[in-house]
Amino acid sequence: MGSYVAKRVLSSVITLLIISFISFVFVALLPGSPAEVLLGEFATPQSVAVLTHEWGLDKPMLYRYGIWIGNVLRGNFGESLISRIPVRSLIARAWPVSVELCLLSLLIAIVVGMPLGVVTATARPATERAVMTSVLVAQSVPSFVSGILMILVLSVKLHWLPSSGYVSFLENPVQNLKVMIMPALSLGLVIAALLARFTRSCMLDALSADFVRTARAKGLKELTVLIRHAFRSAMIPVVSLLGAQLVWFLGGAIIQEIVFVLPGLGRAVVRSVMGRDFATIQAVVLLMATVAALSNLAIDVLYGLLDPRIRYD
Amino acid sequence: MRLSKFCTILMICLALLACSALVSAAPKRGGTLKVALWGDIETLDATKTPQVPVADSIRWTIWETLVRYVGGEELYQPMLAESWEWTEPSTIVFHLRHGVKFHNGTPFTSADVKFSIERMKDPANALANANYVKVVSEVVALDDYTVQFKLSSPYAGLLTNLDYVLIVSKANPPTSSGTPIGTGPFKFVEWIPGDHLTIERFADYWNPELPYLDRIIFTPIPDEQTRIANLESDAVQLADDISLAQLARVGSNPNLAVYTGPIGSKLIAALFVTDIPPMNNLLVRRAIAYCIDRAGFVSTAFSGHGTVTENIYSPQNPYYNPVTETVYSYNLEQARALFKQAGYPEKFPPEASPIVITIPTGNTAFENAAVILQSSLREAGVRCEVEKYDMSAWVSVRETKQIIITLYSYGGVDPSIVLATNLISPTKNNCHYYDGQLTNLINAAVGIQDLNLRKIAYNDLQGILSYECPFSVVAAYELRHAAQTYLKGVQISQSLSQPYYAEMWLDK
Repeated sequence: MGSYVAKRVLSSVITLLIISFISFVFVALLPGSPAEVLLGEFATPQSVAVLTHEWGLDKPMLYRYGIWIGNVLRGNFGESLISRIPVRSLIARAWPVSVELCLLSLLIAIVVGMPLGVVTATARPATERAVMTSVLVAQSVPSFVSGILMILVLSVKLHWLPSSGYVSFLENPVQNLKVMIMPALSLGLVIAALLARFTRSCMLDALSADFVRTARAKGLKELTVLIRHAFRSAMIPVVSLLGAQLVWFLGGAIIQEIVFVLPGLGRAVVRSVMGRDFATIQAVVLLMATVAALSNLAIDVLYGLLDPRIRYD
Repeated sequence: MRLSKFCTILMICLALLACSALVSAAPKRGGTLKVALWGDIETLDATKTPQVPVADSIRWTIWETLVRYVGGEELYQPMLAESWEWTEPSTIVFHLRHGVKFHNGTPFTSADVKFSIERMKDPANALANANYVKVVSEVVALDDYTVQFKLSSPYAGLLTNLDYVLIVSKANPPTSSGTPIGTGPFKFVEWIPGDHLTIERFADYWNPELPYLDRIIFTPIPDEQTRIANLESDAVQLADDISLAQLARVGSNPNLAVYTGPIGSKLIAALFVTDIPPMNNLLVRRAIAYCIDRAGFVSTAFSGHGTVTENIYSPQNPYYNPVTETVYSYNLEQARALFKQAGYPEKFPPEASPIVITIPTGNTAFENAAVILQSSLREAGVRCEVEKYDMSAWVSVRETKQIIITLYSYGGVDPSIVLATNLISPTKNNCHYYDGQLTNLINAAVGIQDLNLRKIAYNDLQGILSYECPFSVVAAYELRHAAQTYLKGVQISQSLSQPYYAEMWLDK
């Protein structure tokens, strides 16, 4: 197990290096002059040249990558292009927002999705059809549409929840949750729907398996059969699905952060791509890739804990 | 007797009513204003960029200018300069306001003015608005409160240009992320990049009446739907730059008011990159100008909230030349005839690659203009495609395409400003259109002081531009901001369409 994890960590590091290089090349190849955008229509060619030089954008791409990766390995992520604010402090402020949003969405997805899956696997056909239709609707509505709809209904019409105005959880937990609940719902419900469908099909598979029949034949209570035997076995593919969705959460969070004006990593990455602020883009991409790599690793380790048949040799 | 008594009582009642109206109209001090900006603030140095989010938030709240362009009879309002006089056609003397303090307590003097202009002009600083003071050759501080500008040649547009020239502190010039220090009505509190920027009332402001608000929080909300929803839910009290497509939604809400910038201060134009075939052919440029359905564009894309114009000056501008207004009225027959005359009788362009119209993403007006132009061009037998780029890419690639759909806005009414933009500046323009004679005329027109002679010069220039057709204007429109009706004292700059915050107050 230990050597397996070590090997996986090593291969993750190599993957991350490759990802950082690819994203660097992509950003460098994008046409665009941040200096011209900043200086506007009255910019003189001299001032554009001065800024381009000041920002080091006149250097060759590989040279810039070399400098950047060298600094990153020493723990220095550089400065944001225009504002000259250290990228580290930009990220330090943004990541808690995105993590909170993802965790809340995940919580909603699990709390809503899994029980629905289990219930529909065992419910009567009429109930099942009704639940599965609403699940399908929830899955089909894009989260940016549901987000805007929630704002229009819950903020504009009913004045129940604020449409923006993020404050950190430590500063004001109640206000923080009020702001976060809508984005978390619109992101979480999509995953909840997916999870419900997947849990249901895994539960149906498990319920028709031999060990469930054996459990029933032993005279166990139906609830015990359902939870201790069928549900646990159905969880293995569900956990792997969730692992894959973690990265999706980060992507979906970008949209929610824009719709709900949350100062998270998603906003930061969109802003920096538009402004060709490569230090910030690189840092956020690296961070997201690290999260993806770690979550995949965590899921693989979790398999072993859920299913004793899986061994890491 | 009875009648006169009745009259007296009536008069008293009316007077009381008037008084109560006056009382409710008197500005109230205090409160926090929340403003939604359409884009992110990228720097705390407002002299570095003309970008609207920076301009709408900190440009005139933290810093001030010598004079402010207000239009009308008054034209200019004294700000840091109490008065000024032209001592010679190319020399102007400003008498500065006494007792003005910077936010850090240091006094404001002529040394700060001298420093601000010289800092702006220095190419090593790469400041956005250096062009506006290009004509200032020397700044002399005659004493602590008198400063003289010597110009390299007479220039009537100088005072209008000063709207862009912020007076910064010599001891604490602005930097991209350091605390900005100015003399403005509000001082800086904090900036969380990507989240918000907060400013608060400057208690030592030279005008003790102002500002009325205690605090302003600017939040960038780039998504327009979200920005308007935040306004509707009263999460913000002011939202800048409402697109024409959303005007009906905002206008129909009784709790919201729309504030419009100077009429016709923004133009949508199709620029022809004149050094690329087939756009180097004058007949082709004219043919395409005939394909632009301007009325159709205003009625569909702008929902009627714009002005059909072919001119770089809107009909409201004193320098507008009506003769050049309907030269290229929508006429596909004429366009076909011109294509034929240019040597393209069958289809145009004859080569494999179609004409490319390029636009930046994220602006519905541009997209509509491009699509409407594309469909009329196709009707005239022209094969063309629309290519979209994000703003950073667009400024780099646009000049390699044949047609650029772009936006031009000008500050104030001075006609030299439009001609100094990259639209048609003789030194650098996006059309790549350079003509020695035109350049001489533009340079000569800039120096003319007499209003009538100036009008003639600029009318001539419009005639030449219309004839040569390096670009074709599609329509003029205005920038609009929306606010809660309880936000009072909202005034919009007559030059840059941005709101002034010092006079705003909350009636709540």
